[in-house]
Amino acid sequence: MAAPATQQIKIRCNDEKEFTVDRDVLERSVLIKNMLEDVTEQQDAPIPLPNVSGPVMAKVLEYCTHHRGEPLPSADTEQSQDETRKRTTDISEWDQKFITVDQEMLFEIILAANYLDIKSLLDVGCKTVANMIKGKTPEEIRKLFNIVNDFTPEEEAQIKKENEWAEDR
Amino acid sequence: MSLQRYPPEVIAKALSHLDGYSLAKCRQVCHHLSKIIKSEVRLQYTLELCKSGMVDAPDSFEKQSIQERLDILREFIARRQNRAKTQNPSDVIITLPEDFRKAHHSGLFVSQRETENEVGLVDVSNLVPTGSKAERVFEERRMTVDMQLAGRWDQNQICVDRDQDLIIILSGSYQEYRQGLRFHLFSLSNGATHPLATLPFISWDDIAKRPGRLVFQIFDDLFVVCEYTACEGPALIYNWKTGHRLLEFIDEAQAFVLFDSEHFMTCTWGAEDQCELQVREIETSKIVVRLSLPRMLQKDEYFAQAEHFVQLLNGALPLPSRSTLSRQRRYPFHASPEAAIITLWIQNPTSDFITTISHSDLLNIMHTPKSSTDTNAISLSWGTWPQATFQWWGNHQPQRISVYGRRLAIAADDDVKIFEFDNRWFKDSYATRQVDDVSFTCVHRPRLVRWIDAHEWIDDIFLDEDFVVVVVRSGMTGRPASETCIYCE
Repeated sequence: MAAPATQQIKIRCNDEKEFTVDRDVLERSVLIKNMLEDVTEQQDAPIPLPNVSGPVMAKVLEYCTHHRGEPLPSADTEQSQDETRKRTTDISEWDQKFITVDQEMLFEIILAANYLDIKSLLDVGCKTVANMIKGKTPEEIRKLFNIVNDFTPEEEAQIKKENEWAEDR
Repeated sequence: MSLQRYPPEVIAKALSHLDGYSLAKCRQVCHHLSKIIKSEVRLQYTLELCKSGMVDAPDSFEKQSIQERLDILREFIARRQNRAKTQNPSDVIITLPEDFRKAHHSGLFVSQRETENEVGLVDVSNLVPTGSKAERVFEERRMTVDMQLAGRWDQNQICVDRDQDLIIILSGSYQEYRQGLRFHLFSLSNGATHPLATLPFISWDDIAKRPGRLVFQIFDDLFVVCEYTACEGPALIYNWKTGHRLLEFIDEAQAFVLFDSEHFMTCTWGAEDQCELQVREIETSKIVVRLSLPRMLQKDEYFAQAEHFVQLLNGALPLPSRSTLSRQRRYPFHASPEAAIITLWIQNPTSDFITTISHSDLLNIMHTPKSSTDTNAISLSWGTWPQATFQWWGNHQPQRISVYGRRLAIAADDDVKIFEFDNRWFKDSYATRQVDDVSFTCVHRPRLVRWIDAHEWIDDIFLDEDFVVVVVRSGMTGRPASETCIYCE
C-alpha cells in the first residue's frame, strides 16, 4: 500500500454523524477504496455515505479496525466462494462476539457491508443469519423473523408435500 | 420487522450459506422467501441436489455455469423418474464373457483380453429388463491399445472412467518386484493414447510391502492406487493429469476408497467388536465422520491389531485447476459411479485363513431383519444392532459394500440389501461434522434371482443409478467368474 497509514479520511453518514478514520481502516470497504483511488487530490470534504447510519457505521468501523492489515480477499472467483461456502459456516471467536447484536442491527450491518462492499463482514453477517435458520422448522423460522404465514391452507399443504423429503426422520 | 424490507439479493446471500434441507424449510415459510429461493439459481441448485441425494463437484466443472448444472441435474432426475415409471421392477441375470469384471463404470465392464494389447468392453448400461426375468449375453467390443508393456498382465490392473473417456492400465506385475509400475492412459472410445500420456513411474516399493491385491480407483482428477493385503500397505492418491502425488496414507485399514473429490473412506477393524468406517479429508487427512458397525468377521488373533491410524503426509498439494482437457461428462454432480462407489472389503485377509479356520470359527455379524417388514422402512443404527438378531453367515467370503449417492448396498454371501442413508448422513457429516450414530433405512431388498451355491460367493457389488451389479465367483481357489448378475431395482 502506497498510502501511509496515518492518512485520515472523513466520512459522513446519512444522519449527519461524521467519523474521521485512518485510511487503511476505511479501505477494507472496496467501495470507499475505489472512491479514494479515483480522487487523487487530498480532500477535506467528508465522503458522504447516504445509505449508512451513524450507529451502524460505528459497528462497521469497529470491525474494520479489528481486521485492519489483514489481506483483502482478492477479486475472487465464484470458485473459491463455492469452496468456503461448502466447507464451513464457522465464524471466528472475535467476529462471533462482534456480531452478537439484535436482529435489527444484524440486518443493518449486513446491508451496510453489502453497500460498502466489505466481503468478509458480509460473510460473517450472512453466516450468522444462516446459523439462526439452521435446524429450524418453518414455523420456528417465522417466529424468529416475525414473518406472517401468507400461504393459503391449500398452498401450504401443497408446499409441505413438495418438501416432505427434507423432514427429519 | 419483516424480511421484505431487505433487498432480495441480500437475503439470497444469507440463504446461500444454508444446506438443501434448511432451504426446503425456508421455502415453506412465506411467499417472499419461497420466491427468492426459486429465482436464485444457486439456491435452487443446492436444493435440488440435496433432494436427489447428489453432491456438487465444483472444482471439476468450472466451465459449467450453475444454470447449466441445474439443467443437467433436472434432466437426470427426469430420466430417473421416467425410468422408474416405465419399468417393472425385475431381476436380470446376464452372462458376460468370462472374466469381465476387472473394471466397471456406469454399466461398462472392461477387461484385458488374451493378448496384451487388447481390451474388451461390454456395455450393459442400456439394459432394459423385459418381463420378470431375463437372461442374456452381451456382446463384447474389442479394442487395441498401443502399449509397450514392461511386464506381464496381472489382476486388477485396469480402471476406467466413462465420463472422462479414459482407461488407465497398469503394466508390471507382482512377479517383477523391483521394477516400477507404469500407468498408461488411453481413450475409451478409440484406444488412442491419452493426450496426457502417462502417470509417473511409481516404484513398486511405493505401493506394496508385499504382494496383495492392487486396487485402482479413478475419480475426476484423482487416481488412487492401494493395496489390499491384510492390514498393510499404503494408499496413494495422485492427480493423474499432473502426476502429483496428493496423499500417501499408511494405515492398517482393510479398505480404502474415494468418497468424493475431497474425501476418502477407510474401513478398519478395531480391537473391540467393531469395524470402523472413517471419512477423511484428502487435503488434511482429518477425520470428518467416524462410524462403527459390528465387525462382520472376528478372529481375535488376527484382527486384534488394527487399532488406530498412522498418519503420514500432511502438506498435500492443492489441486491445480484443470483446463486443458475437454471431455464429455454427463453429470456435474457426484455419484458418478466408481467415484461414489465404495467397495469396502470386509473380508478375511489371506487364503491361509480360509483354509485353516473352519467356518464355525468365524463370527459373522450382520443384521437380518426378522420381522415381516423386512422390505421396507427398517431403521437401523450402526453399532446398535441388537445381539438377538445377529446371525451366522456360514461363510468366510468377503462382504461388499457399495455406495451410490445416498444409497448403500451390502452384499453378504447370498444376500443383497440396499439401504438409504438417513438424511443425517449428509447433513451431519458435511454440515456439522459430528456423527455419533448414523442410521440408515432398508429401502429395498432385491429379490434373489438365483441361489448362491456353497462353493460360490459374491465377489463384487456395484450399486448403480438404477441397478445393482453382483459379480458371483465360484470355487475355493477363485476360478474365473461364472456369472454376473444384475439386479434391477
